[in-house]
Amino acid sequence: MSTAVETREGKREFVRFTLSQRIEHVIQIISFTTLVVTGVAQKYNTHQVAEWIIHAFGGIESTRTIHRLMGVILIVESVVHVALIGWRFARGERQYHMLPRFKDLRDAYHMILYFVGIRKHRARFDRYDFRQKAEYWSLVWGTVVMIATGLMMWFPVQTTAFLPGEVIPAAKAAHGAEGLLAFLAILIWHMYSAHLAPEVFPFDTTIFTGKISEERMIHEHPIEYERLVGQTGEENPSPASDKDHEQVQNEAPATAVAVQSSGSGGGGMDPGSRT
Amino acid sequence: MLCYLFAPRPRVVGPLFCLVMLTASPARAQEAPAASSSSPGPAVPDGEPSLVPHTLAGRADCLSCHGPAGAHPFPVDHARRSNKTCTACHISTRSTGGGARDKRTSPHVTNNYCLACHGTPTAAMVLPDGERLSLFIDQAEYEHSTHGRSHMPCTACHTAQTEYPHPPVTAKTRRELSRGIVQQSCFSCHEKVFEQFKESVHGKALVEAGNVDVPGCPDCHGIHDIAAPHTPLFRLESPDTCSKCHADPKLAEKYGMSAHVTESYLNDFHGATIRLARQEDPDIASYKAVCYDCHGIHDIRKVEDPASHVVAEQLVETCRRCHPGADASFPAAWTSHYEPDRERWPIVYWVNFAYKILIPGVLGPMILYILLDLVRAVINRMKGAKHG
Repeated sequence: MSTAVETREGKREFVRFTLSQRIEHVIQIISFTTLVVTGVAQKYNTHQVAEWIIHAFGGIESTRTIHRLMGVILIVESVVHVALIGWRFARGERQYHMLPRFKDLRDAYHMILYFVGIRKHRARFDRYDFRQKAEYWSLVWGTVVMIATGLMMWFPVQTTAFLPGEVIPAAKAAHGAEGLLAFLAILIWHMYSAHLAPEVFPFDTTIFTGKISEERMIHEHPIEYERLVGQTGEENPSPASDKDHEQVQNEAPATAVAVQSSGSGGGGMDPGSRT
Repeated sequence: MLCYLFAPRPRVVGPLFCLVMLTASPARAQEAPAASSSSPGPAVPDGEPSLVPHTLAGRADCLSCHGPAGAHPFPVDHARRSNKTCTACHISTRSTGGGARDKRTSPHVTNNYCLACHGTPTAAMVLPDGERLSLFIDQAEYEHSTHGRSHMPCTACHTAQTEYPHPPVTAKTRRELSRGIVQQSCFSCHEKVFEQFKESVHGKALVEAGNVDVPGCPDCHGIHDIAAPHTPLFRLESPDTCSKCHADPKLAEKYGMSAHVTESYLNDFHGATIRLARQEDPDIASYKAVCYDCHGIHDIRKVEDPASHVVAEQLVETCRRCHPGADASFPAAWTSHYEPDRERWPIVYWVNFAYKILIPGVLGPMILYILLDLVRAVINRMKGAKHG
């Protein structure tokens, strides 16, 4: 692992996302938002707001063209994403932080117990917590479904050459429902963890700047923090046991570490990421 | 105001309701220009075609002279008109020994003659069934119609109403009246359409059974506002045209049809596009399928009819007209106006079912988790405030 520690005004920051990951995120924002707007308008096309949106996009044919153009951008971005992972693997930079583990289930259970007051302390997370992994893999699942069903509707003749005709209306049903699910999930989950959560309100900038403060690292990703700091030998690794978050607060050099921790934002675009 | 002078000919002179008609004769053909300048604007162009004396007056087979190989072949733009319909436009002048007059440019009576009465917005009559039938003809609307633009006289269709007073109306209802005119007039020119139409599900009922529920020409094409059926607007409006009957629950029940075919069409890809395109701009040329692209136009059959365009054996051919290369499994991509259920479209049904569970199943826990987190944040803050 490359060193991930930088210095700025006496405070330490960690590089969390590479430039290519940050660009990927921006592409996702543009394509996802446009796809949702043009897609939901088509799904509920009899609604007045939908009619207004379709009109604003220059009519139904041009709305569809834009939707498909954005779909192509999403496909290209997904292919690039997978290719980058493959490339890193080929170079020997193999990382498995984004893979789901049994610990994620335990962490989720732990957090719920913590919220209801049964456990005293938060779960300790590694580079990606279970919420980020859930969002990442939801995005993967959703993208696969949306691309597959979208292409089926775009190329019905070619699709029915090897699949029964009924898959076309089924694809339409799935595309609409999955799109709605993705839209609502992003609206609720991602907006919450990246914007509205008390710790990050109003805006978690990590996915745009690529950097995360040492305080937040200690608070939100203690396992990763210890691994990094331990390896660089600049600080003694913390005890492996469940760490009291007030202790973490005390260790952290001053300032605004929130009472609660939450997502580091961005939803973890890439399992084979930096450090 | 009581005197109307119509020109060029035939001239109708006299007060309203007391009309004296001076019928045309070849000898007066040259008087036209002078008369027209003082006229209130006739619907027919000035003048008449020059009359060629017919030495063979009354001969039945026009084509013996006017066929492509004859001494006086008909104009090239007449190529698609059949021999039988020569007399639909051309009046044979047997008695005078003169030539044939063109009904279209030189009718027995001009449109202004008719409009003297029918141009009054309040003109109306009550039919035996009690329905009030407006007799008003909007001249501007008619002249904009496809027949009006080619200067067709009223009497081309209203063949019985060439004189005043008119023969008494025998039809009891508006639809009956319109059927009479359709049978008598539309098909005398639109012969090929009639050949198709009389074999269709609508035409059979109309022609053979005298059914007045089925559409005749005016129900789809309009009456005095008939527009060319090749315009984008006609196409975009056509689902509404069919819906006038096919979304009517009463007619659906009477004939055992579904009243939801328009709804299911509009819910699907083709229909939604057509609806939105029309809303955007009624002159958009959208190529998405409308009712008649699949079901046919004048040759609509019952869906089960082996000659139907949409019968199972024929459907893929119909799809291929827009989707070239479509495979035999392609037609199943259209749910045939049915709402997907477990028996009919199981894959669609189960996909919908799965998402009905998946969406709340995913969003519910998310919302719950967020609420728990927020509640804990509030509790911690309160505790912190107490301790601090």
